[in-house]
Amino acid sequence: MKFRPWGALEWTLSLSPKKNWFFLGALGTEQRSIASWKLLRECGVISAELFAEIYDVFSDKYYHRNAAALKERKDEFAKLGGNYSSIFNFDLMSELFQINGIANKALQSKSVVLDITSFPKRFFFPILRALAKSPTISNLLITYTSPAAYAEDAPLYEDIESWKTLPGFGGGDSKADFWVVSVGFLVESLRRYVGDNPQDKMKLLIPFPAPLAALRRTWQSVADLEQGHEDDRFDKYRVDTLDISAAFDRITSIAGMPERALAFAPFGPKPTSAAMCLYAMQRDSSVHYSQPTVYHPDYSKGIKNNSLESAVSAYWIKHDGEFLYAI
Amino acid sequence: MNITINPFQQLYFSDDTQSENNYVELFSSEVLQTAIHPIFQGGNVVLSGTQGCGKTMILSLLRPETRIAYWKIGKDFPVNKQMRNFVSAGVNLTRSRIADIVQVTLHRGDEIDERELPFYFADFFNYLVVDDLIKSVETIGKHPEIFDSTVVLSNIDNFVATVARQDCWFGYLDEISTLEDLRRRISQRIDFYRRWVNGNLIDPEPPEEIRSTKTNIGEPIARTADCLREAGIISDLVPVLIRVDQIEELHRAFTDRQRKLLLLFRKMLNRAFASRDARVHYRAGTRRYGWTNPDYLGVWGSEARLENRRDYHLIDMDEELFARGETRNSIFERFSIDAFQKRVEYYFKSEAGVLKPHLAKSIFGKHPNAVDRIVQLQESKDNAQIDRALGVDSAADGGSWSEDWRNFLRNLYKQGHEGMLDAVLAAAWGRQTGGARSKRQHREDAPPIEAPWKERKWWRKERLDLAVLQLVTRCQQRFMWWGYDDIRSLSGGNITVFLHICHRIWDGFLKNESSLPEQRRTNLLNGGAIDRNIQAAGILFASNEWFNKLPEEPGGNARKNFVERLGVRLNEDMIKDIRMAYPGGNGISLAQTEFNSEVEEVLDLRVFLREAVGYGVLFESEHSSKVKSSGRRLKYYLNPILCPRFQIPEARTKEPYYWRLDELFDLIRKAQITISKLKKPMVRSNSSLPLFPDLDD
Repeated sequence: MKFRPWGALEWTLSLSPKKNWFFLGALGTEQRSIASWKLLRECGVISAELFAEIYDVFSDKYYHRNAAALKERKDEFAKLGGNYSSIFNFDLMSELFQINGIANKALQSKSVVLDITSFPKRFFFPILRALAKSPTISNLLITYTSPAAYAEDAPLYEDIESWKTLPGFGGGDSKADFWVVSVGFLVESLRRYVGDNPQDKMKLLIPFPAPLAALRRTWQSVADLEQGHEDDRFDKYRVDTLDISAAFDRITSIAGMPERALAFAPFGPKPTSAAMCLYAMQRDSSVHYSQPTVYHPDYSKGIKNNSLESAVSAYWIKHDGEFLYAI
Repeated sequence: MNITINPFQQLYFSDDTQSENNYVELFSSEVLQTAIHPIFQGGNVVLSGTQGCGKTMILSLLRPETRIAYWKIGKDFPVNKQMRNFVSAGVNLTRSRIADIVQVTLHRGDEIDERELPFYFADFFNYLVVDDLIKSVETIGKHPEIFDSTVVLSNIDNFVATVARQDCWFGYLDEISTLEDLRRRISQRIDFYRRWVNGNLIDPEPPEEIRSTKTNIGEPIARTADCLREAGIISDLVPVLIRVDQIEELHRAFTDRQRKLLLLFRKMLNRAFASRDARVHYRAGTRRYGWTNPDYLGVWGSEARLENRRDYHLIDMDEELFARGETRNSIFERFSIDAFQKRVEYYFKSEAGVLKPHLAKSIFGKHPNAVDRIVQLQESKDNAQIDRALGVDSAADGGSWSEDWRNFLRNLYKQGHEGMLDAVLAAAWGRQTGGARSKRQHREDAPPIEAPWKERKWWRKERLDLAVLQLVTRCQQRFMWWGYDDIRSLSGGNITVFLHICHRIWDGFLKNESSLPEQRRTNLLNGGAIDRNIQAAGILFASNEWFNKLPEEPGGNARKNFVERLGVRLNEDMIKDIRMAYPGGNGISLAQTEFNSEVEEVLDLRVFLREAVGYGVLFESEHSSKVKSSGRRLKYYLNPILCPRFQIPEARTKEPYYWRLDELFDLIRKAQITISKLKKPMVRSNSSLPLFPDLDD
């Protein structure tokens, strides 16, 4: 098992000589969307930055709340010294070439921080792949900020698209031996897929340890998923919500030796999804998802413990040219 | 009887290779002959229908693997012997990811993308189909014991040489001499497209080798078919049938660029249909909204549109085959009974023995009449309770009834369940005037000696369901459904809905059985029936579950919110209609003159409703206005499976409520439903990211 450093941002940075980082993030309605940038800025290590402001598909229901929350976030960004010219607009359902344009912007830099906190999966998967594969980038750090809580009053997202592969992660021709599924709060389309494909074996990655409220919802999802199906279709593995490295090791161990072909369904926490991405990009595995087109304006609230230091986690992906997640 | 097996557990069977045995055991071949026949004859055929209506199962008959599966278990292939000699290949637009070409750009602006990407789409399509065609030919050729001499592989080298020489490839297949080479070369091409749409090309544009050899849609497929015939691998009489499934996939767009490009891809695909090439015949599977919009039927490079009967033969499985929503429907009835029987036989195997025919009818029992539906109500002697049940208490329209009428109605009500029903109908009749011009209500006169609410056969029949609904609601009970006919009717002509209801009823039955001692259990395989209360509970569960599953489909939340508002509103209006003036108030009707307006908001509404119909959430049909010279109208009803949740009788009787579009827009606004996905009113203060900014800097 390889040691891949991750933990509190400042500690993680301290493991390597000070660098000038290019920061890539998504500025969204959530308070946590600029937390990592704020902390890095306080550390004085950001040399340049690019934020994607990603617009959900238009929704009458959330339009005013989204607009107000975005304005609040941008005001906060400006107040902290952020420059509006570093923010670029994207549609949530942008095409792959546009998403790759974000990564291209960072490809001339030697050290890049990718903050996946508010990036939808259809964005950060291709971006992470491009950055990880780039020969010019020697140091790559992922950051992720845990929220204080998630919205409880309404579904976290609505109007999902059909079950498809994420842009750029269509995989090869061969059928996967196993499905690796990270379980989150909502599993509607996954439940449908499970029902329609009774032969497929599912390896469920269940976030644990996790906050109590999240735990309850996640296990409810597992119960929904399993309902009416034979037990031997599902193997459950507990994976720390925040530990990309442990999730990656779990995935490689599921693939086994000789290696079996995997397909992924990242419905769970972002760090686990990042681990899936790091594996899938090396094996051309398909990654399947039902993209929500509208997110709740209060998808998450606040930041964990109301403390940047404990809320922001950082993960070394590449260090001095070494890719720490090579299979 | 094994009380751990629910034969309806699995609703869908996909068309992958692992499901073939299930397919053979469960496919209702006899019943579906009406749809099957045209599939194996000449000309292009389009199978349209809502999800779960059986399109994919029918198209699967074309796959050689399905026929092999039939042979393996010794079952006769359910296609007329004269039509079995065919070769088929195909592409599923979702699984092949061919529409992902929209994800790439040629980096020379949107105009160039719109002009050139459709050709790459066509090329990708051609290679996918030719690849599958060659695989199918090989599979068939290797199994002469099953396919007789449909394919003779002895002259394969000759075929390869001929096909490689064709000018339709623009030189891409030069140097090919063996079948292995041909397969590898085609696979390289497909692999290129996969890498491109996955964003794995280093160069911004495809290489010269691809750019200069783009093929015309359909031509390489037709030439390959020709070459197979020329080489004697298939005879001139063997039709080559090309499946194109999930065409609706080309119409999920979220930006203007995507919408334009996908429409252009669709036009390109339509060109293959428009060519009416006798060398190959296309077989399309699509949900209704993927075919009904005239904008989707344009043909690349021409002003023409595809036309039914001229370019293709349309089989609308919902409307033509299963006569969705009609009360009598012999094909669906036979289909559902057969599907039920096959499931039970398959899952209970030897235990099933020789099952009674029409098992579904004996297990679910008879269709309840109106009195049966209210037998759960307690008879009452208390006048206040009776007044409440009849809606003549002071909280309803009290005060307007003479004491004579009140006593008359109360006496009727006290005469058992039939009397209760009569009393509700009599109260409604009392509130009516007997004619449009008359203003005097019947109750202003003394109660009649005859009973017009009983003797006027149609007046009564049309109002029975409404009477039951109003009565049970006022008595704080629910309208209940049970019996085979109710289940068939709630299925709305969709076999998946039927199986879903059966699943939930069977589940309820198993739960109940497991709590009983063995000697008190019911053997459904041997003449037993499921208790009506278990059925009613299972049906309600299935209805709620179907409603909660609506968000599983793209755009489903909006439709779910819409259905919630509409369902609640229709139920309220029906309960409030104490005169029973609108016994058909379980739906709404819109004037086509208003509905066909080109106003943007109305256009969006049309698309929204069409999609709702396409996803099987609403049922739509045309009708004449009850007002002379008011033109044609469109009726909309909830899918019957949703009716138990909202407590709306599903039978369509009389005219539905006539709504103005304003009323519909009002309902949509209140539900905060977004009917257009292309609006982007959010003020965008920032710029868009230029492509390759580092190259520009």
